[in-house]
Amino acid sequence: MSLMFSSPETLTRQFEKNRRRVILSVVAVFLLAAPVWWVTTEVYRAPLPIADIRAWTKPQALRQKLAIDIDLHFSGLPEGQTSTDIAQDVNKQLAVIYQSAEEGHVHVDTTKEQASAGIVGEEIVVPNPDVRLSFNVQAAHNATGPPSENGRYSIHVSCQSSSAIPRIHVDAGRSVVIGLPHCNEDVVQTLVGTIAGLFADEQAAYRSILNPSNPTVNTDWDNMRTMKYARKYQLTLSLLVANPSDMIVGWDIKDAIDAYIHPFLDALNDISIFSVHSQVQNYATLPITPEATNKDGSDIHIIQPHVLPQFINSAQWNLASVVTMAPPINFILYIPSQSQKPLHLVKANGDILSTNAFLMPRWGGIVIANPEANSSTYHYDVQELLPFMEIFISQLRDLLGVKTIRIPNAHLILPGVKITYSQAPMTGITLWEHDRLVRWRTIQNIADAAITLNSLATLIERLESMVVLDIIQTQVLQALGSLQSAHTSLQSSSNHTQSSLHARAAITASESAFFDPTMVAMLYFPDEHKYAVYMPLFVPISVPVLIAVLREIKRWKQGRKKKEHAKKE
Amino acid sequence: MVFSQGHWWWASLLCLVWLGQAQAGVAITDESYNEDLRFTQLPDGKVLSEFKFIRRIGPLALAKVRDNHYSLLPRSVGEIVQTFGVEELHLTFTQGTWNHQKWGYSPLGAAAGVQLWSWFNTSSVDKQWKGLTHALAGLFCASLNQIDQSNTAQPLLSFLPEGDYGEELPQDVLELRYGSLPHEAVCTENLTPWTKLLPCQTQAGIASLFNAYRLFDGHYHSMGTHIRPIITDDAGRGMEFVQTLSVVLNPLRLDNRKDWSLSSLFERKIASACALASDTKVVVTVPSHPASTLNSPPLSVLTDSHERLSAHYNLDLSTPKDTDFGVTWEDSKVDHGVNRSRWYIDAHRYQTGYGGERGGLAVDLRNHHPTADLDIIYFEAIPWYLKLYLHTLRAETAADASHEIIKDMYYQPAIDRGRPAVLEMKMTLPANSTTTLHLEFDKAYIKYTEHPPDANRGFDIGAAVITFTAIPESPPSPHDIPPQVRIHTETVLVSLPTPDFSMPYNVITLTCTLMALYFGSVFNMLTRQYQPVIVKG
Amino acid sequence: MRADPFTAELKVPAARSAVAQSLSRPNSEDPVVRIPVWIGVVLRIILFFFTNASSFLQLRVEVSTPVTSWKRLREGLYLYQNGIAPYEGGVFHQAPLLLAIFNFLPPILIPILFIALDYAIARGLVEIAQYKRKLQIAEIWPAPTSDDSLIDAVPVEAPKPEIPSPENTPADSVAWLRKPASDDDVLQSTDDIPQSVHKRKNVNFASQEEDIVPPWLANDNCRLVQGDSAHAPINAPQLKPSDPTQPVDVILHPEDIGAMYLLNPYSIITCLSQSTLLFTLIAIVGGIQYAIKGNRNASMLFIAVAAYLSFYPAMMMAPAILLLSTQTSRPVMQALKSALPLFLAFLVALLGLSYLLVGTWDFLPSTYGVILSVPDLTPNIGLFWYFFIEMFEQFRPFFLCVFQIMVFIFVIPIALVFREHPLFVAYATTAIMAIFKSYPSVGDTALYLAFFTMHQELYKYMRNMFLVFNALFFASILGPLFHYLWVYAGSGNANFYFAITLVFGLAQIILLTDTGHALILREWERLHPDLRRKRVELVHQ
Repeated sequence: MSLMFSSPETLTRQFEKNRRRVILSVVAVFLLAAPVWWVTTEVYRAPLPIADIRAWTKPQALRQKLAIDIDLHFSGLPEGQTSTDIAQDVNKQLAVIYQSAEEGHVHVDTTKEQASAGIVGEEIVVPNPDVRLSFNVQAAHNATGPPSENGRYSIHVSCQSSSAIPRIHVDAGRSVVIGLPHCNEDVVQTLVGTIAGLFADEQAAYRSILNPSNPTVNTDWDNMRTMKYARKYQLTLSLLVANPSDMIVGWDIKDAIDAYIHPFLDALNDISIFSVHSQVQNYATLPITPEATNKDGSDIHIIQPHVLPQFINSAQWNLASVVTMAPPINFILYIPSQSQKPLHLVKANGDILSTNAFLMPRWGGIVIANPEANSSTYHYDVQELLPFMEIFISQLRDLLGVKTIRIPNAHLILPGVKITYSQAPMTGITLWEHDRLVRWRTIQNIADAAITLNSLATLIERLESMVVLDIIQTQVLQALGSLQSAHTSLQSSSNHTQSSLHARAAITASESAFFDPTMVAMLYFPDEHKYAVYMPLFVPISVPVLIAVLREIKRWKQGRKKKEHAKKE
Repeated sequence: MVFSQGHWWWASLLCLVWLGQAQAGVAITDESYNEDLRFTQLPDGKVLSEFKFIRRIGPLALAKVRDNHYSLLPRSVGEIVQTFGVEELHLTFTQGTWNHQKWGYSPLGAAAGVQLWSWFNTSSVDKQWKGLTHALAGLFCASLNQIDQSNTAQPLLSFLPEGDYGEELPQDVLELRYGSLPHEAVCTENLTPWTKLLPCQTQAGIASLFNAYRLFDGHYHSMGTHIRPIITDDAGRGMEFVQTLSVVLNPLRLDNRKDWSLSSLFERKIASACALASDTKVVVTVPSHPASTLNSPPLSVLTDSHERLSAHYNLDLSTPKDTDFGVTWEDSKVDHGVNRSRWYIDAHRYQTGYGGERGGLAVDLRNHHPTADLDIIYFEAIPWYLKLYLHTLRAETAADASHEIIKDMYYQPAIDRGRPAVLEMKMTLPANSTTTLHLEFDKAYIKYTEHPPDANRGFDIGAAVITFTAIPESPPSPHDIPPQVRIHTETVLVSLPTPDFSMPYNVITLTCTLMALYFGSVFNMLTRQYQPVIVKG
Repeated sequence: MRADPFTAELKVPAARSAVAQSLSRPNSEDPVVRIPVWIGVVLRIILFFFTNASSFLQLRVEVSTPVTSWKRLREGLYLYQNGIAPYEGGVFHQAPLLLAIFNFLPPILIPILFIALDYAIARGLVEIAQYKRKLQIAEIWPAPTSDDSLIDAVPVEAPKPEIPSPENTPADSVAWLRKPASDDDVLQSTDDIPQSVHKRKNVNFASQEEDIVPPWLANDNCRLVQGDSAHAPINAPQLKPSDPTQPVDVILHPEDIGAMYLLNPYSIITCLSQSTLLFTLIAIVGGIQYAIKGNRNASMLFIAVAAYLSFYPAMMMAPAILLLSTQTSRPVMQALKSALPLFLAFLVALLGLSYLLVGTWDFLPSTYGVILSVPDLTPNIGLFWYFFIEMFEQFRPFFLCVFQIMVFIFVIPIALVFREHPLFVAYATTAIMAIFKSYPSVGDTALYLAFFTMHQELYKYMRNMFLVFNALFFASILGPLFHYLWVYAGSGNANFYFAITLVFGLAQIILLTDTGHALILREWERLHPDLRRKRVELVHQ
């Protein structure tokens, strides 16, 4: 009741004070509520290093050297020649060949070495702006065993070879043995030719990886059949029996796989890991009917090459797995029914395919077997499975991109030299092949990871209302990190196993980021709808508050003016 | 060819090491497969055909399966069992309701729609259960992935493990999950992948009778997939994988006679025995009165205690291709009456109340046994959008109320959008009486996004399951029915009150306008002042 | 409550006749027939024990919400007694201590308990009303210093407004100098025509009692004006009219408030439906009541209980603290400082007690969590349910926050502005709660209408009373009807019922603001004694 006798002026003053407090409190609530709005309605987007990602898509980002070390071991080197000189000459010429590749053409000079180098160049060097093999040939004096790391090789040159003609033997380890009757100047030639030749295909392969715009025919064909890289593959060997009522067929597949397939897979386990399944399916009918013909006296059934694409009866045969996401590689041993035996594949020219097998690019391989029906059951033991396993392995090599190491145009580069290649041990893959595969996959993974990250970046930039969780961010950062380290370790050290690991990490991280389920579950809510939701409440609420605040400010200014006036007077 | 014989010679040397085991592997095959087909002509003339495809995987084969080498067991099934640590799995796709009042009890009787229950032997069961439902959804082209936490239950009493686990007590180490989709429509696209799991698919054996047009034309159709552990010998634990299909067809519909044969029922004949089946049994069971003649001479005929003839056949590769089993009757009078002599317990569930706000469930549980009180287990899993009031649960019976009916009760209240309400009761039904359970619920008002596209159709509430031990002399053929008999009630269709789906924006605008009005007027009231203006009179 | 508009209109002339008779019989009250409080109790008893109204009303959406429904309480009780965690499921959302209460209560006593509660509420309201009556009597209207001298002093700014013709007639212009009623005319001359016409009645009425005016002018009133409120005589009604320029209010009769609460159909059906809301209501009323008595501990305890039962009443702290500060004549901040810790202490104690009772903290998300996040969208008379049925998922949390903030945003401003009128603050906060809480029911409306009835002196300053109470009336009739059409008959869809809840809310909002304006107007008039004589227009800016 204190206000009872207060004059209108005091009342007004009192009121003004209240009004200021009211406005303040309301505005305060608004300010406090703003974060709520932010927290509850923002689409969470973890920041991504877009610039770094983009940097990887520039051509020069992937341009790099691929260091290869080669140790030269000489035995019985004649006087006047030191292994180091030879090593330097070899280095020079290799440099000429592979550097000149940078500009994309080859110097042809008149001096002998250069000329031969020129020939070499014309014959084998593939101009490649991106990944360049850079060799570091050095003379090794203490004789060591075969190098243990991917990217370091040794060449043994023996100058007093018993045989009259020079021999080159590429053995299964990381070494080459060159036997020369006597070492004159062209030992350098031989070395250059050998080294350049051994790595020519690899060099060529890199071009098509990094700029697919100008692919050469053979690499294109290779890529077409080679599986896309994955950390884990699902290998499925299926025994398909057309009609078990003729003959029930079983196989000792477990033992066969342990004996033949696993050694090969173990040799590759630093690139990918494989889970091997096997199954038997009966009453597996073909979607195509083979033609019955009569070939030199016996009735046989043949399948023409052009119908092979329809061979797989994907509707009937349960080949897919329901649980794993790993890309499947299928191998099928097909036992035709009695009525269709013997079943043979024929070439385009009509004569029978000896292996009776064919490969489905990026899918798997099929072998057709015609066991003799002498009883109602037939069981393949490990021995009998051996030929099929051989075929499967060779198909698997193709599918995984294992390339046989050969020196192309050997007759031109190394005329009159006998070249022999020692076969793979029972792993089914030599170290040369393995190393090359590792390097190739490394380069490829780096490129793919860069592309994947790039498309991820574009996707995220396109859709503003897409949620980007922290997982994505961390995965992208991981990918970028391992990309960088792969890139550096490729050209610094000659141990490419390390870089392959980095590249693998990069591709895995980038893909898991790209295919993350949370990226799919994005809520898309167009802006005009947002306005329709917000406006009915917030426009009418904020207008009076704004007006009140503005008025208050005006009054305050006026009040100050008055005070000043008062002071003046 | 990359490999020269030279180096393979080494390889083959190494192989010799394996040969020993390989040969051994040939010798021991502890997998067996047999098929079993039973035709039973029911009192009302309908023909119940029960197909069973039984695969027994012994310890050795199971060991091979463990490292992913499959021969008789389908790979997809093996993978599922291993990946998700499934010990026991029972999945049924069912259309129509098994009329246990007229047809008696069937071991293959299942709840309408999809019913899945599985015992897990793993940690993080919920994750595995989710994975399992998704994998099965992919395998059978069914929307099993809709079984999530909000309609998954863990019954305590009703679904005991059916495999033999040796001496270890399974309930202690295993965990159970139960889910059902009453609304799921079963059709050919579920049947096809199911038949692809059969060793002979549909090309030989009894499965060659499968004619989708006829199968789905029946009164009742149930397609089951069951996995359970078995102990074959002391070599260790094996696994049994059984696929069952039971269908009730009505020969009277064609021409008003009870006569039937394979060709009349399925428009097919058994092409040939499945080559992989070690034996293929066919049993035709018919009432012994009135007189009837079998189309093909059986190996043996025997009469069981309930004056029914059952004729036994054996199929093998030598069986002529066009064998056509069937029965021809002297007269074609059928008995539509309900047979109480052997099937004492039946249940009937219906909805009470009216209006979109609240309702109730009522279940009639009848015990027709003249003298004996029978113990049953009643199980019900009710989705959260029916808010149960347990305190309204009451059991009324005509019999003397001297002894209470509900012996024991287990109730798990529902969580909104989280889990269903699970009610499980041990009850004793007085002899020759009808007990009625009453339970009230409120229908939840759910967000308009939670309504199905056909919102006004309503929601199906899954069948209640009544489990009990059949009285020894009651089952028609003892070796068929497991000691635990399960009968399922009807599914109930409940319609929830629906909002107006067309006007979210109107609602937002109107309500917000009201809010704004309140804010504006009060704010002005508080921040503005009355100012006098004198008016000269 | 529907009767109120009419009583409100009736009491003005009643007051004047009271004034008239007060000359002959000094200590008499106005002879309006009044209904005793016990009638409402009897009515409840009859409805409880001789009809099945209770079982019917328990299921009505208007009365029993998910957080107060008696059926759900029984479910919770059942689960609790059978050893199933009652808060695990999605059905029971009420405070644990309620379980404790009903756990031991024999069923026959339950209706009795609810009737008793309602009666207690009524008694509490009566006590509050007595305080209000004291204030009314003690309220002092400073008298105008003298008449004509001031007129020129006050600046004349506004353009001459058009004045309804009656005031211009010389007869009136003579009349209004003396007649108290006529300054209503002036104050409200901006109103639309029906209002001013309706006011003319008062003028005529007043003019009939002109003969009794002289004796009032005779006795001198300056002592009273200077005298402070403390010594204001209790039977002031006779003396009041001595200042002819102040409106003549009926002095409210406390019993009426109780009776009106108990006879309010809203409160009747709330009681019959055995809604546990009654516990909240009595806690609120108790809190105010003890605040008036100046008993800080008791009032804080009660408000803590109310907040514990249904969260929102925490905002009743505002009026309670204002009352405490006026009653104990301490500054507000000091009162707050002393009271707030008490409140929190009691609240914590109650929560701890509940924890001891159910042995788990699950009840927190399942009671307050439900009140705040509104997962159960069962229709009620409020604004939340349909909005959040239709709201898009990604805006849901945001608008939940906004709506909950809207409930509390004006509590402090109102307490600031109406600091002098704690009871009005109580009225405003209860009203805001009733309109904007997440699960409102008519019980809340009944409570703040009771507070509304205490402010009878405001009625004649209000402009939309007729509109408001018609809207409330029709909404109360049509609400159940449309709900039936939607849920049972299926011939109407949800929008019908939603529209009615909108109307209901709108009416209440208008009532709230209207009352506020009325109070401000009256205060202005009271505190500007010299302008009371002038023909003044007020502009709200």
